[in-house]
Amino acid sequence: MRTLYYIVTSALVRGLIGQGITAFVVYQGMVSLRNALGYDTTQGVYDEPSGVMAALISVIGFLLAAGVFTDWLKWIGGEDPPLKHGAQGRPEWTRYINVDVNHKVIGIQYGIASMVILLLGGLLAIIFRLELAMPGLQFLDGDAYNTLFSAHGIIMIVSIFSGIAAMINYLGPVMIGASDMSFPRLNAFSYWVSIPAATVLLSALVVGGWDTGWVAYPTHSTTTTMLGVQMFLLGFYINGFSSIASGLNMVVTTVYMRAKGMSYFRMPIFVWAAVSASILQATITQTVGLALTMVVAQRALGLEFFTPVTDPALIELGFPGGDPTLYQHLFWFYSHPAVYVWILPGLGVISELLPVFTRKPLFGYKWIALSSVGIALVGSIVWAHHMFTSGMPVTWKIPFMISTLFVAIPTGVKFFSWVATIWEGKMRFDTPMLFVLGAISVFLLGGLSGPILGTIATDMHLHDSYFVVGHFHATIFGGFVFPFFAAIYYWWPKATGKMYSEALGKLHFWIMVPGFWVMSLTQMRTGVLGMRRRIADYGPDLGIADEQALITVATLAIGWSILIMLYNLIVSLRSQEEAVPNPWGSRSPEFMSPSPLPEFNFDGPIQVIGEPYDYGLDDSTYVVPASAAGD
Amino acid sequence: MSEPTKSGSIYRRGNTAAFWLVVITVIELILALTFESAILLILLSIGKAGIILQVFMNISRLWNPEEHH
Amino acid sequence: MSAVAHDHDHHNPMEPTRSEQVKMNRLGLWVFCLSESFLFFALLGTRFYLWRNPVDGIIRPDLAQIPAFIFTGVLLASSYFMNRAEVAISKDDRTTFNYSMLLTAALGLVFLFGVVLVEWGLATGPELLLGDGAFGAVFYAMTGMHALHVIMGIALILIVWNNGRKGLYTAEDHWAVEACAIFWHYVDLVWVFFYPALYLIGTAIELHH
Ligand SMILES: [Cu+2]
Repeated sequence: MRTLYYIVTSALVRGLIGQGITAFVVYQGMVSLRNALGYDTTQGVYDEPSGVMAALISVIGFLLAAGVFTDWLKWIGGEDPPLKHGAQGRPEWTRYINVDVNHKVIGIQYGIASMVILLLGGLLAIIFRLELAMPGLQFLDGDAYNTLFSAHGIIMIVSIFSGIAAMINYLGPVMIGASDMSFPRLNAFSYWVSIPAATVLLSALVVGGWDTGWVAYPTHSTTTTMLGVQMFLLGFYINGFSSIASGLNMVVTTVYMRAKGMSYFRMPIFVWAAVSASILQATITQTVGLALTMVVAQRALGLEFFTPVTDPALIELGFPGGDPTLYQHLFWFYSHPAVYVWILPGLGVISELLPVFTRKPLFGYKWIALSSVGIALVGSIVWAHHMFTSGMPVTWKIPFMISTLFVAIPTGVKFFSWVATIWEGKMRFDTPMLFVLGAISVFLLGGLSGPILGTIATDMHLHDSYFVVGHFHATIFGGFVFPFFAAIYYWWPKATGKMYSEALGKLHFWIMVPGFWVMSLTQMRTGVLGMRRRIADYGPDLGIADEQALITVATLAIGWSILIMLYNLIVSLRSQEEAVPNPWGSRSPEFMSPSPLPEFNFDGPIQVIGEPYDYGLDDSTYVVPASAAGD
Repeated sequence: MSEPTKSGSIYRRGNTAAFWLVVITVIELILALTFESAILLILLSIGKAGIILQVFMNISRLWNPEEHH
Repeated sequence: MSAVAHDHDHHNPMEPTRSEQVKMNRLGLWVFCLSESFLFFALLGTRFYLWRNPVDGIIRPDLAQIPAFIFTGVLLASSYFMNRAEVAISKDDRTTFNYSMLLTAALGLVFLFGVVLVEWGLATGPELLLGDGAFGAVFYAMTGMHALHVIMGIALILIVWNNGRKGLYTAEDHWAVEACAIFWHYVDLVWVFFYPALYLIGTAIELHH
């Protein structure tokens, strides 16, 4: 009964109710207003301009009802409310469904959100994979298939953003020896704004679905009659606030909150990756926001950004028309580097964990630190390689091909460092290490298939084929999914104080990694044989029916293995046994403190007195409490 | 961190900046109506932006936080 | 169960001091400005990507010059008074602070109405219609996105003016005023690039049709 009360009065439930009410009221008000002005509001599943307005305002409704703005509203009134720490007299678990400013709580909130959304996105994939297992349409029609794959794409992207935010939030501050982020309230905002964004996004599934894929290219996205597209665009857009705010927060935190003695080149390597990803997030997200706004505006207000002029009189006068390739530039200026936002933290995890499990110093610390920055910079000038078939002039294509191939240099630096770190190491094959090795193998697959697509001549054939699907999933599983799972296993005893079952962890690994290899390589093969992406069906004469069935089986295997992981983790929470304080023998600051970490991470300031990755070297210390350092 | 001097003199930096901003804006308009040179106009905008960043926005406080006015 | 150890002592042993927090706030605001610059550069990019034709190269709609020039001057003047307000509070000159803040907000409002009523009115009148190809789309997108920031800036100025009246800021500690100033000047900075891009650069195309 008490539990029910705590749930019903939580920020999450209050927010959702607030969002629902606001959306309803604004929508009805807008419809009556537009009716009064003489517009026809009966076209389609809902009235589009009213729906857009309702969705946007509903986000504010959520945040107000959840109490995210409370302290800021007090500031406006001239008060200076202190930060609220702890559960406010409620049970500890309620912190995760209420607005909490602690970076660890927010990290876990993101982590849970990421897993829930991952399951949803995975479920959608499994549904359309079952449809694709055989030639011919079995149980989905075209619209349903289109909605499913579009939703799978964007839902997984939201899951990935939550996943990297989980890692950056939970680990970032404690790894640099800080008690929290620079802006704890903004941090809470970043998390909480992503919830109404997700509701808006998911509402697209029930208000007609959409058929534009996650890229939403005009002119299709500006003309499609499947009205879910607006909710998809807005959900995507609002999620951008979360990205920008959390990116900004992590940059400032890293600049100003490092422990004494922690110069930039003595930070844990994960922080370098996190900060590179954060700089990208804080900046480039704006351009996709603009691109999405333009599609929304063209649909709802009639601003014609993407429609060429056809009226001969206007052409005669020299009037400029809209251009659909404008969208592609703005979209990919964000969406290519966004892939690096997703994988950089994961690559950081790989570099972070390898020295621990090989008991050797990380090879080439400075190079690997700067390679993260390098990937972020080079990755920002390659976007038009997605547009080789768009009719772009060849003088634009060549520079983008060259810059794309340059990405291989900083990425290669990371690979060499990993191999050299493993070389002659005393390896321990615990579950996190297995996932790190799996990640490296899969990322290699993704990396090697990349230049084939970045080269104009080969891309002409492979563009929009299943080869791209295979390549993309390999980069994301290698760069995000496997390192994220490695991180979950590795920091689980730290975050919860409990140990999972090593046997189940290994089972998860031995199903998922081979399953993924089969899936990805087979996708690439069907692509080379002529399978297009985003197509609900294929002919039996294409000769890829067996491959398609195999991909579906591999997808199911991956799905089951993830359920094994969740089972493993949840069961471990109920165990009575406490985990060993530092099960992996890590030197990182977070392992100086007890598990789970105390509210402010450390009893007092800490100080860096040595190199971070001198594993296996005698009497070398990385961090000590500042009180013990003596100065 | 000087003591309040004659009111007026403490505002001199802002006055000068505003003066030059107005002058450049007038030049811009005249230039646009006569020359039509995009490059020159962009250069002038960058000049104005520099004045605003330095004088009005005090960008140097980022690396020199102690220096106040 | 919880992933944060239960801890009754809610005192942060590493709490940032006020001056450390102000330094972080300042960098945070600048990173925000950098972030916004990507939005405004993307809009400028859009303008130069779309406002072209095969005959004249870079073009612009032939809009009335004088009102645009005046409103640009008004925004500049507001920026000047914002600076005056910030300098005033740092010297504890409260009278100048109060009236300069109000003047800034008032001039900001004049600019806002200038753009939304006069410029949009002139444009929609007989000439540039919402939906007239790329001229209308880009013109309303750029002025509209900028106007949105002007509105936020005016709101911020009024809040800070009000809290200043209550005596919340001192000569030593007036971060809120500084933040408000940086944001308002940033809005002006954006217009420094938008004004020539919209009104001055390129071959003027007659709008009567
Ligand atoms: Cu790309």
